[in-house]
Amino acid sequence: MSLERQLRALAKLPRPQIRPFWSARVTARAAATTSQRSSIARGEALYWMALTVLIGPLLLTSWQRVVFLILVLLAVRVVAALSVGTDLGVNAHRHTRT
Amino acid sequence: MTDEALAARVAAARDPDDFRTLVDRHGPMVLRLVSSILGPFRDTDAEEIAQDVFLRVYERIGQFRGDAKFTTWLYRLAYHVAVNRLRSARLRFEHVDLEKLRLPDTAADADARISAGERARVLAEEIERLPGLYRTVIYLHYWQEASIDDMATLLAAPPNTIKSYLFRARARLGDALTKKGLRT
Repeated sequence: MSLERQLRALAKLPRPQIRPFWSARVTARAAATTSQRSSIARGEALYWMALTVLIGPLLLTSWQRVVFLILVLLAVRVVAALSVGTDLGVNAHRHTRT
Repeated sequence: MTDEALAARVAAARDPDDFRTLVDRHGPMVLRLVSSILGPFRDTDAEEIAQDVFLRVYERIGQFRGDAKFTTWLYRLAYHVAVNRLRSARLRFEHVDLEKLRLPDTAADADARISAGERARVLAEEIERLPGLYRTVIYLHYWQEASIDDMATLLAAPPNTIKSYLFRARARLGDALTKKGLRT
């Protein structure tokens, strides 16, 4: 049996098809993800502005307080990075389902 | 309206209807490409990966500057998303389902069928062992029955290059089958 003929047999295997309303679901999900992200970003910006205005002047009055502020900022970055990791973990789990 | 104009409108106004038009137009081809990268023997949801491709498109459409065709940008993105997913599936040891490594039987009598079944299994294994691009062109051409022109569009390569990939992929498969004594 020729290789070409054997390879042609691949065409008999089922092919994934796009289900009805797929594009509507993708569009809805894209819009939802973007609005969720922008609201989180807006909330985060407001939080940092408030923090800066309220306790910034107090914390910047001595070197120890500056160091403390830097440590807090670093801790916040670590927590943010870990939460992104968790999100990725959730997505990875979602993608492994069969 | 052209894809490029639609993409510019989506980037500027984020209108879901414009985006949906793009998904409607290119969803089937993206699914075809993604499926061919994953292959028919893998239990990974190609439709879900195609969805992820479009989520990334929506996210990054501002990066599309219009200096290339929208489809070139889209299919390149789809290729990378699918290849990364395949890589991570392999890292998680999600191997190909060996039970599925069987191509449809083409032999007539019972003795020949056993031999054909074995031959088909070995061929499927050898296709899975091909380098990524060769495997993709084999699946695109023989499984998805994509034309050379469609493959050239999907893989952003000239048709002659695609023909050359196909030729080399077939040659590798032929060699592998000969080594196993299964080539007639």
